[in-house]
Amino acid sequence: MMSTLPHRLAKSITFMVGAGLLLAMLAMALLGPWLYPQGPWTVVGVPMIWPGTDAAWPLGTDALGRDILAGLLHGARVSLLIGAAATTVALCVGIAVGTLTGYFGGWVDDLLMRLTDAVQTVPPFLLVIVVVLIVNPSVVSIVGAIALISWPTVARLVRAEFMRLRETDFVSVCRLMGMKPARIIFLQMLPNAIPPIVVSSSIMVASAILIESGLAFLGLGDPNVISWGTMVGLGRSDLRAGWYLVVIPGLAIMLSVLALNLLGDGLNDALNTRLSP
Amino acid sequence: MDPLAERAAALNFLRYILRRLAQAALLLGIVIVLQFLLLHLAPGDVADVIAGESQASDPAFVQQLRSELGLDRPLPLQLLLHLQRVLTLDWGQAHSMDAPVWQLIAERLPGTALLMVSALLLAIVLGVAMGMVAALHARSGLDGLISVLALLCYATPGFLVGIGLILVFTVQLQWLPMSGMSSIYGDASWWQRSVDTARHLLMPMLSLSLFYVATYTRLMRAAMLEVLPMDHVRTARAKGLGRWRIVWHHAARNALLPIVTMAGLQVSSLLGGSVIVETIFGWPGIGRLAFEAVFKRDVPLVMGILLLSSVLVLLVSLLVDLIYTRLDPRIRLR
Amino acid sequence: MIPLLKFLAAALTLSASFATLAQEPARGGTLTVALPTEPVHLNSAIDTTQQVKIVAGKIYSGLVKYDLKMNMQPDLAESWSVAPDGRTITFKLRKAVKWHDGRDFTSADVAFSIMKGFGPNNGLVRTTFANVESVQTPDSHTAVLVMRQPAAALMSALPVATATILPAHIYDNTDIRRNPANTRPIGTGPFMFSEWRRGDAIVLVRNPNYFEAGKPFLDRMVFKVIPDTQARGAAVESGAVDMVFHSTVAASDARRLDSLKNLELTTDGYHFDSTVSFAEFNMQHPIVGKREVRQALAHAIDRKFVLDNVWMGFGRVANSPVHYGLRQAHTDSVPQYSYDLKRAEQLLDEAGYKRGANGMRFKLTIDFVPFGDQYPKVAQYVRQQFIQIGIDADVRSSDFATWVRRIWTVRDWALNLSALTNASDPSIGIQRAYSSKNIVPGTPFTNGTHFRNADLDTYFEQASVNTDPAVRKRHFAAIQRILATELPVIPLVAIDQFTITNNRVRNHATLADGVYGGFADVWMAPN
Repeated sequence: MMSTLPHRLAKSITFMVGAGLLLAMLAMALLGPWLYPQGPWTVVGVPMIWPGTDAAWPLGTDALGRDILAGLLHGARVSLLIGAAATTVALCVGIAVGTLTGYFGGWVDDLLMRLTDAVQTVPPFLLVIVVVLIVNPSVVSIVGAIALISWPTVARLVRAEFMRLRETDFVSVCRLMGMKPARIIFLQMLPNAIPPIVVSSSIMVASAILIESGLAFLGLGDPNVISWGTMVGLGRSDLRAGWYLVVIPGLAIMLSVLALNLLGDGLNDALNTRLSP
Repeated sequence: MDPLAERAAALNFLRYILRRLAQAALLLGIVIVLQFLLLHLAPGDVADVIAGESQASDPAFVQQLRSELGLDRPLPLQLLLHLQRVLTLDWGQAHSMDAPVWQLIAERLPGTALLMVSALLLAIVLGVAMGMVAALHARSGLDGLISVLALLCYATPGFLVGIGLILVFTVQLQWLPMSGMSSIYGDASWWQRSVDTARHLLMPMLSLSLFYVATYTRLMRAAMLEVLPMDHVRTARAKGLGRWRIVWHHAARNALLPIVTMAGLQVSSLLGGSVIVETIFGWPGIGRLAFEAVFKRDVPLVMGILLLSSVLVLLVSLLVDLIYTRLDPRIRLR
Repeated sequence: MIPLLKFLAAALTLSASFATLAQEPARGGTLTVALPTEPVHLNSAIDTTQQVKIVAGKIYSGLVKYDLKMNMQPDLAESWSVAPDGRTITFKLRKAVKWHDGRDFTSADVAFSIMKGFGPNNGLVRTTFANVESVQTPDSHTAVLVMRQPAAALMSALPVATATILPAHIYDNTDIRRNPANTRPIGTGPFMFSEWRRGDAIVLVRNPNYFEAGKPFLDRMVFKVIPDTQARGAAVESGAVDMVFHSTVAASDARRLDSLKNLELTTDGYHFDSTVSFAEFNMQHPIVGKREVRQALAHAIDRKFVLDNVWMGFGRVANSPVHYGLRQAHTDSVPQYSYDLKRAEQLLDEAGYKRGANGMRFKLTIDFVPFGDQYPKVAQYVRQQFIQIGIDADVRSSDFATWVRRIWTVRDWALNLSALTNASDPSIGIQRAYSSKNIVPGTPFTNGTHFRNADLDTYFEQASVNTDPAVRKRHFAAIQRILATELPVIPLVAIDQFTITNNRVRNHATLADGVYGGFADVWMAPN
């Protein structure tokens, strides 16, 4: 029986749980502006109300009287967007570099690989901190910094795939036929390299969300948007008065990272079974 | 092996090491230049910080500071001077603290080393244990549970773990100290100091290591699953020889290589992760030092730390490669 | 029978509590203080950050001290006299005072410190002491300050934190910034430097030859570096440290800690800090450079809300950048701006900035000093308020170096949330920010707004040389009225800094410079 990809995915528990959680997060992100059009920054109530004590504010309020639930929903959008954006940029750069080095080899490979090595030599989180501090914390700089430390992995992945694919029969035939390199790359090789890229993207988004929250925790988040990380950073100074300020967004972060990893694992299992004999 | 072949192998090995070292040196050079340029892109310099922090409002003072620190010279000149100093192993004086860079780093190095090594060891031990249990009960509920547990460890942000531990163990139970590396000022025996340091180390170590447990769990589980169905294992088990001994012996051998490789790769990540843990727990290490140094735009200090981290990463990767070749004779040195 | 027993019990308890009141200071013990940042070095003559001052103040001494009522007390100087024309101040110094290395303290040390030590190098009081032409030393225990003009604020700048007396025999003819004594200080104070564990703690031990006989009472002081705000709160709560100073725990934590039986909170001892937070404007900005706009914005900020929710009530609403604790200068009879959003919108309309099609009038960026937890919160609050009255405001976060450069050099800012310490006198703390003579590009905490007002300048100059308190008070009142009318700055909160201690710690807030003083009188009650 030929099992198709959607079939296998549906049977994989890890994938389903991961997907389910992720959909919940996305729903939060979409609901946010609809349920709380005034945004997460508006002062709505008495400060430091504990969750579950007042029906009007089910998750309580923070030190300045802002609604935690509003922050959580709006924050979902920002955190997920930052994760997705950083990963997209990293993918673009990584795929570009990986393609060039994997296909052409030679001095192009040497040069770009040295660059990749150089970027990977610096401890990633340290590099992120340096970049964000220099360019001043904002969504753009955070996305850029996270992309900066993430593209090398993608590049290596793509490079490995391309080097492997270059030696296969059908690619050799294409080259002998005189097909332009661009056509070979985009039409023949990239589609085959997609599966590992997809799997690692999921992990990369998760890792981007974790890094962003770490930055915000250290006080390096964008001060104009509320992400889950920002909520943690803001809540940190009033931690003893209300640990829910940190724990609630912290749990949201944890669940998203969990979801994305499960998703990635499920995809990995499903896709690999197809590839291996 | 015949002596000629042995000699050839040894020469090959030597050439390999030299080549790797040369590559590493080149890499380091690129890294240094890139980091220097990156740091100098920043507006504001450390004279601004020093003057600003002391609410000092004297222009001559600030200008004096700037020329003393050599900050008013043209950029290429500063870069050349910097490179020259790095090569002569003179890492300069930290602008924001009254001490030479190498001294500040050296003072903090033991702290970070202790934290990182213990966190890594804990992650490996926990991961190995969990991986073994998972493999022995493969595809059962327990296996799934362990997977989820490991994943939870990975997904929980480090600061949440740290803060949670503090809330429980310091605030509620008052068992463990939450800051610094020691609380002993004065005379104490070696044993007392060790116990004191261990108590301070417990929570930061746990906070840093949990993130990495998942990886080792998977590695061990995979390694064991490879080994369990093998013929000689099955035979040995049939013969009734100590089950654990065999399983352990073969699985451990199988897992050693990937674990060592992974540990080597994770040094870089650990150094970064230590920033948050060291900040929460006031642990005197270079992660926190780096963060403070960047905040104060203390270029020599930041350069020194980034340089040291890069050197460390390169050395560890070289070491791992060497161990790899020793452990796995199938791999030939290119 | 029973009433008698009750009476006896009551009498015994009463006498016991009286005994506690009249308790003799206990000797010995270690006082642990939480340091939020590790100091760069320990020379407060060249560095005025809190973390340097608090340690240096125990190791060094000043010429005089001030008690909580601002009466001068002897420190290294036994007595002093000011000439009628205010141009000569004579100090008679204590005899038989020794430096920690055994050498004698003499007037040469005072001369050195004023002319070459803190005089030229202390960014805060440099201009105050620039008035000193020379220091005569007719004998080894007399120092005479000869001034070019009277400096009204000079006397209040004499405690150890701002006028640190350094040993001439160690610092003279050396580079004061690179002298190794900066990290292994030799002073005349009640505590001697013992050990510095980088990143961890600084340890001081009792000076057995301190010039106040019988003091200090403590054996040892440990300054533990705890960079995390929460960690400091937990440390003082659990007893790991005995003291957190200068409001370095979260204000929300502070209230809670105060209510615990084993802890005490006091706001005494910060007279020389007297910090006021504010929102200041760039006078060269096309929009906020207009007074009408600034006055409108002043109506949009509920300062009581900021005081209650950001500073948790530690302080008072400020109508002037002069702290209310500076009684010699502060006044509240200045134009005030009530919290009235409608009025704010009306004034903006009148100023010609009506709401556009998208409901917004103009864009505005809010900058804030990246120090402490409060200013980001104030920035967010102010941003929300401005959005409500139709200003498209956003907050910009920078690190310290960028912020300093932006506000004082590059000057591409509109509104800046920050704070300024008055020190002990507006001539020291405030003049530098609003006098047009102190517009110095590139130097932080000078006149960053570029506010210019000739009358203000004159008043400031006269106040700084006139030693008559009544005259000075009039001048300062005029200054505050001008500032409240022209509004280059909207004062927010006059902050009450607080110290939280274990209730075993006694006598730590008996001087006007509080924790920054010597702690010779501090003792710890046994458990």
